[in-house]
Amino acid sequence: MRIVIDLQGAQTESRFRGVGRYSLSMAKAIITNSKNHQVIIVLNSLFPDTIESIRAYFDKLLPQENIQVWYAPGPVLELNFNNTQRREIAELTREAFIASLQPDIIYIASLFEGFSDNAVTSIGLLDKSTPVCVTSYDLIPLQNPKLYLEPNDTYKKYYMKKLQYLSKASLLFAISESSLQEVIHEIKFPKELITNTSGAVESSFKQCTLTEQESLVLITKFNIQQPFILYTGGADERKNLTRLIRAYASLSTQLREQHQLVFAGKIPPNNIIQLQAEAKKAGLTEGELSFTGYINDEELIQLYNLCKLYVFPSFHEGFGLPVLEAMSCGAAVIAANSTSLPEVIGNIDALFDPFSETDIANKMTKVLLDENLRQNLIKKGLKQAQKFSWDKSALIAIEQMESAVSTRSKKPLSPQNIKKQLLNALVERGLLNNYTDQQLYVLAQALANNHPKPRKKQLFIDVSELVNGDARTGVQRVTRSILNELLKNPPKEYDVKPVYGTHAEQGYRYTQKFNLQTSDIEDEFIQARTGDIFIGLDLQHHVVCAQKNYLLALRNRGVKIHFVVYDLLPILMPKVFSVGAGQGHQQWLSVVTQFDTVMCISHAVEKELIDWRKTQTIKRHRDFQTAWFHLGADIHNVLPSLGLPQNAHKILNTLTKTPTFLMVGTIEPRKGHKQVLDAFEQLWKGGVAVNLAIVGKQGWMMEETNKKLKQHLELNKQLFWFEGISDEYLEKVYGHSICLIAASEGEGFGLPLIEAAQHRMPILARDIPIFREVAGQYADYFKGSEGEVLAQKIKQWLEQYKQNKHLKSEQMSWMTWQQSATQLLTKLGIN
Amino acid sequence: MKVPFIQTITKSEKIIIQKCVVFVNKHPGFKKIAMWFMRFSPKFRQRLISKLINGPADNELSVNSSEHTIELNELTEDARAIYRELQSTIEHQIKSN
Repeated sequence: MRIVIDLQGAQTESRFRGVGRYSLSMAKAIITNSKNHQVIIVLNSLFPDTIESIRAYFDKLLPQENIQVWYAPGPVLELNFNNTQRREIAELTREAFIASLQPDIIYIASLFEGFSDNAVTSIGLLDKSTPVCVTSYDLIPLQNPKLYLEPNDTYKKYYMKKLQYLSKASLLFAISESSLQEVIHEIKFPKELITNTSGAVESSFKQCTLTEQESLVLITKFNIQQPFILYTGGADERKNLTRLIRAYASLSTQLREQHQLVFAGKIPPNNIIQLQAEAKKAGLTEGELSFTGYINDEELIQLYNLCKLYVFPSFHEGFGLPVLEAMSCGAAVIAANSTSLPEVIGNIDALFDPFSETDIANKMTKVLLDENLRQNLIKKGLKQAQKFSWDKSALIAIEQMESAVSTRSKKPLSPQNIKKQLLNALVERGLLNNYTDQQLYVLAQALANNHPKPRKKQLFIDVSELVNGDARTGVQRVTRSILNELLKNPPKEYDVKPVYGTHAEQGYRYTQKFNLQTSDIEDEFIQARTGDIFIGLDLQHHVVCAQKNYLLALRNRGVKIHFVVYDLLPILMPKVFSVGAGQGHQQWLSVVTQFDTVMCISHAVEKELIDWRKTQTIKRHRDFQTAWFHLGADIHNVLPSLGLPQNAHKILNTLTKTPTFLMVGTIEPRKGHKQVLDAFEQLWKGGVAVNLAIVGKQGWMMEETNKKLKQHLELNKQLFWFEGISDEYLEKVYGHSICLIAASEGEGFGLPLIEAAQHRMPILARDIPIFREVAGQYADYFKGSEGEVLAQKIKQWLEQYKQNKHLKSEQMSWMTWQQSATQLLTKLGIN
Repeated sequence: MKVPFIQTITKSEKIIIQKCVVFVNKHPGFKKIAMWFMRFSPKFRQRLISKLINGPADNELSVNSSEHTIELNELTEDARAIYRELQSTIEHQIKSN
């Protein structure tokens, strides 16, 4: 059986209330008890900020591909009459999307959503065959029309429409016996189709002992000054908070002085103002009440554990989840003797008449003064709480669903025709009348997201810099090389698609740059779908930062998003980068670390990233994932840039005649060119016959060194500067040199060291962790920043070289780009 | 994480800065005036430097909404196909009426 759960109840404002908690817990319990049944959760894309937290909640319970997001143009809230057309389109769109998942049964965790938010729920508008079950929490507005329906016609219309949908449900899950009876009596729903699935609380709601420090932190945060009486929950009229305040005000002065009344949880500001005014009217002073505002679950559990008494005066509940939560945490609980609360609390001694302030006050006084009674309430409450379990609730629900599916008589919609049926329904109902092209575009894009063409999963490789300009730095070499390997050997389940973005338009496009056959057609925007993967391989800070929202939207859709981090140098060594570079890098890192995995190009960079992350407060719903892989270095297997200048042969000959030391890398402060040049000037001055070949473009903040190089007397005699040469030429220069000098003070990886080893070229490297990681015992190392120190080291090295006693690099292990690409994919869990 | 000065920047400051950046980028001659102004506002200075060097780094592009104006060629290939289907369904309906 395939169960599709509509979990919008955990996306709307209900997520801050019992309905949201109930929806999540019930869905979780259905998944854990589903045995051979398949569960798919569907979410509404019009609540983008809620999707990642819900995905995280089900992370280890459900494959991420079983969490599907549907799209529709918004806004659709019923509160605004102008949304009617859009909402009706959204209702059909949602039903078509769910039908396309071919469910055996649909479970709507909360039907009464969408009045003041963008939730969309309906039953039987397009799909009239799939059984739908719905949790029925309560019918409070129907039973209290004067309070809820009559003052607001729009709400009444909305509510009555939802009731009609409710009556079309194949099954109802009532959350209590009281709620079950309400449905039977109020809407005459067939008795045999309603089941009391009851409710429960998460296992985290339990007794715990708080340390003094924890208690102090909590009471300080919420401005609680003494032992306290606790209330948690909403503030609508039925919650009866006015009477609670008046009852509290009628307690003896001594009791009030000893006990503060704390309202925990999110209460709208206007309600707080009203309650404070009520308190003032009742003669209470400011400190006697406390409003905590939003609290997280951990704080809520702590408050339940710390309170002297928990009071729940609501006169109408479907279940009364806070009561069960409080009892599970070992709080002494008293509550109203109305609707579902007596069955939840299961103890007549704990009940009071919610319409009598005196009765409420008497019960509070009794419990606060009689410790035996209080202990008895705690004991009985803990025992009663054990009767409720989500597993029990879920098993009842699953059994009912199985039964409904087995008796299903109508044929399901044919998946091939769903989109066509939807389009026909939209047109036949006149919902697209007067629709502009603009509106049709937006709708078409939503439908394309909802009904993607069958295709293999795609692995998007970000090559933005290669497409937008190609800075031809080391990063672009890596990008080209890894991309080449992935295109040659794509992972089994994926098509590899190079893509690029810009900072000027939202979205990434497929690039044809690496296709064998290109056409003049403009590059298409990517059509991502659940299960696709995006790897941010290339480096364009501003593009990634500008595309942040787009990437977040992709993640919501179920696309895994990983980034490769090459180094943290602009942050760690700000002085050797231009102004703003560190800040730009920081902003980029703070974006990329919000996504799934950050893949570093060495263990050393990973360590630096983890340390940096500790200094940041980036909000995540899941654990921060990092990993590292090593880069490849087989020049023949990349897409090398080609081309030799006319004088190449002559220059290469000159390099061969005298021992040539090679430096590879952009001319920038951290690369150590200045020190190396100083060292060689001293060597030349001392008559040592050596060449220095520098391969690298002009970077930044090195104007003086650049000028010096260009005007150097030894230029093209003993000093050679190769600016922006091709990979082909670089390889030849390697072949004509005897030693690589890696003088950089900071690197992400150190590719030149491996390339040197491939050419069996010895290495003289600065002693930094990344060079040790890459070259290990197969390189000679130097310390110090003076030219003289390095000159001495070079002299020593030359002596050893002449005697063939220098350290050789041949045995140094290195990876091919194919191995590197495989390692990257393996560590990201891509097969 | 954004650096503190960005966290503390006000909405109106942000708008002014954005406009200034666009203007200065279009009229390089005014860069000197902007540099002079920057001396008096460290927040502005940092922000402007960030913008000029890094592009609109913390000014993310917004994701499509129904209010966002888009063109047909901004749709994905699949979406364009659905748009054509929608059009043909509408035309068919008109004809049959």
